[in-house]
Amino acid sequence: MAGVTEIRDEQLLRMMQLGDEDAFTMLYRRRQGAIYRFVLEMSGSASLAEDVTQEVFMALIRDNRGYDPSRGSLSAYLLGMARHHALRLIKRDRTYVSISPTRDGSWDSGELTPLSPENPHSEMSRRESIHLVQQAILSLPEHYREAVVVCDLNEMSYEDAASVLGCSVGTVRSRLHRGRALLIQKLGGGKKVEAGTKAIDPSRCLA
Amino acid sequence: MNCKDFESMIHEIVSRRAPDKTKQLEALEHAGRCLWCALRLDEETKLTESLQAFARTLDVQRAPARVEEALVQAFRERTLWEGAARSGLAGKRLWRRLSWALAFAATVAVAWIVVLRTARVHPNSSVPPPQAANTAISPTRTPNPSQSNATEDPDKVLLQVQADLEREVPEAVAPAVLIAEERNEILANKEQTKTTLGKGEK
Repeated sequence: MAGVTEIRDEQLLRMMQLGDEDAFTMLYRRRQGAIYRFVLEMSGSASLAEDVTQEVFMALIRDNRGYDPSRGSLSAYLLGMARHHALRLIKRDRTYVSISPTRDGSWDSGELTPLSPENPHSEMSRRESIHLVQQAILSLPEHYREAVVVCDLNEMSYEDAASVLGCSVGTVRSRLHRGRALLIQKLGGGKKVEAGTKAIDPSRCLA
Repeated sequence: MNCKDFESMIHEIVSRRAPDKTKQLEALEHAGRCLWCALRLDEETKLTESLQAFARTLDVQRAPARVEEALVQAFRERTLWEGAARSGLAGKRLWRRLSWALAFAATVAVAWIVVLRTARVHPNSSVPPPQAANTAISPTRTPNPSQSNATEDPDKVLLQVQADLEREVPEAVAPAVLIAEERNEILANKEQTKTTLGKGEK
């Protein structure tokens, strides 16, 4: 099994191009989770995440020669495709405007563990906190949201994120910075300075 | 390091992506001296923890099994379709080659039939005997000893030529035979005229 997991994505893609069904299945099982989660985080909709995951791999089945290894990893290529499909579907449906996590049963269908019997209050507080974070992410403008989702939730490097988002590394950094600042504001932490302390302008602080 | 530098790399510090440890230590040292930057670092750290907690809740999320089933089915169909398309293409190429071969064979066969028929109609046309040809064209010019008296008796010469032609090249020199017949007729007319004139003188 160790030998199987060592096969790189690019090799699996080549085998898949030759009609190897096992290679396709392996590639799908390896990458579908990240794609599904990415769209789920972007849209908050499990059905949309399912549709996009299926569309991405269907596109890979139909035309698997569009991937250029010199432009980034296969994982980034697939996430880029997922982003493209997700944005298209989101624009079409605008379903993500409603940020209720339970509208299609996706957010409470098992991803959260049952309340801890030892400390139910802290567990509830944690869930509430997670719910707030999720709502805050979904309310971000698209380009900030995708930067946060790719870099913070999926922990991709700036280079890979730039490949997925189709922009420069500098743009990714600035979008991420701005997106995080908005999240801090939405989560109530922005500009909270203790009483009696004046807000400090960082441009003037030369400490 | 000042607050601007700190702010520009705060995300790398929190997510531990700082380019080198020295920079990170400098940033933390700065946060120890600057209240604003200490608060910013605290905010960013809390946000990162919240985002990581949220991401952990989604770690188990996967596309449903039906998606995989549908995709595997689509992959099988696509593979079969591509295989059929490839074999169809090969079949088309084979058929095209076969058509060319058949056309070539038909052309060769037609040409062969034409040659055979031509040879049957004109068996010696390709190499006509020189004597017969020359005789047919101008029988009186041939300095043949056996025909030395032909100038004296053109009827005999013509009959001889005609007999020779019929015997040797009956078909190949048919036009020559016709010419000889015409000449024979002219000579006969001439003879008749002479006879008529002789009777008139008498």
